[in-house]
Amino acid sequence: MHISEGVLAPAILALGGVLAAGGCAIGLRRIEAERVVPVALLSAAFFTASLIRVPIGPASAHLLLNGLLGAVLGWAAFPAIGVALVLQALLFQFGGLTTLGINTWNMALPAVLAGFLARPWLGRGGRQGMVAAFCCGVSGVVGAALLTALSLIQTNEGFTTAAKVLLLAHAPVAVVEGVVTACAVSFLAAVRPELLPLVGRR
Amino acid sequence: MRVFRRAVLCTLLAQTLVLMQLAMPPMALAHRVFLFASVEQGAIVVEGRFSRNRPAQRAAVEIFEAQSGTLLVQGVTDSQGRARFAIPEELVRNPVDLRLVLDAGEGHQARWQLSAAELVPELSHMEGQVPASPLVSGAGLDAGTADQPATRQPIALTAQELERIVNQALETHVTPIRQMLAAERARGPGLVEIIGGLGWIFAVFASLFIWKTRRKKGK
Repeated sequence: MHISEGVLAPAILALGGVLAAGGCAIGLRRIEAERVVPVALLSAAFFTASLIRVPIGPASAHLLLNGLLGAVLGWAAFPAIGVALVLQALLFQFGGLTTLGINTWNMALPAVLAGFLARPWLGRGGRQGMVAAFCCGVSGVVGAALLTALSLIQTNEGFTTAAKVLLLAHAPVAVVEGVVTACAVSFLAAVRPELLPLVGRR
Repeated sequence: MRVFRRAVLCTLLAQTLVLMQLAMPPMALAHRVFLFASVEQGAIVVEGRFSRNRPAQRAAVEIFEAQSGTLLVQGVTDSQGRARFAIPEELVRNPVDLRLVLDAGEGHQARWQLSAAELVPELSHMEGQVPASPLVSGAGLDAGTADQPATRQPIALTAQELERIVNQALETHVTPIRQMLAAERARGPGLVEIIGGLGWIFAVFASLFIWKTRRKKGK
């Protein structure tokens, strides 16, 4: 879901840049000094998750982990995802520098929203917490696919075709992502419940 | 009984995932698409690949004049991710630099520049120019070979023909090397980039930590 250079109109790129910068600014303000380490760890997890391919039958998929970042970090998911995407663009040539803003917005917004909506149940642990975390993981991927398709609305492909293809392609990833997020969050709830939700309680 | 129920659920989930994965289009999960183009035997050969060397199937290819941006040719890649375009008439008359764009959908796009110089050897061959002056003549070569078999017949070649033969022979040898380089580029990031990236992430957040701590102390 990394949109390449030269695909989107300058207006959409600029809008994405402004929105992502706003999200990152809010996220950076809300990170407390003692919470920086988990943010860095989850940013590193997001950075490498796209490289780890999970074999599913004859094909393979990779994780996004944006739902997990949203569940644990709240607004801090913006800078965490932004930094990871900058490095993916510079070192792996995934996406591009001009599309950084829109790519960050597309990945981070659904993550933050999902985390915000699931917050009342996340800290409880048990079955409720697991279901909430699973929904967080699924909606992170589905939301990112929908926002990416929305960004492509002005291209030849249009929103409907892009959304269909992206949702179909990412449906298995969304399920796997939900399971991974549910396991990670329930583990955190059992071991370090104070980490849930990490930042953005204000 | 509970374990059995869980095992059945897990199996069903795995089966569903496999079926969904089979039905999905391969391109949408890719991070990056690569485009490689070369001129071979009077045609522009285009190859699209996703990271890890998977072919970019049914991707739209457009060839533009690099300076004016005029669209010259367009087409779609085959199941191998390749497309072959005959060099357009206007290019035969007046070779110019070309810009190739491959659009694999879902925001994946790659570009390639093909210079006029790469087209020239092919064009001189296509124009079928009249021999200017014989470069290699049989006249001086067959001295002392009169008793040799008929296979050693004298050959007359023009400069253009010789150039074409050399170009063809070179192309045969260079194409596998070019493909090897392309495959190497499309392999994806290596360990150095991954570890380097992780180092940068920790450096960025360590700086943030220092900044936040100083601000806290300042207050």
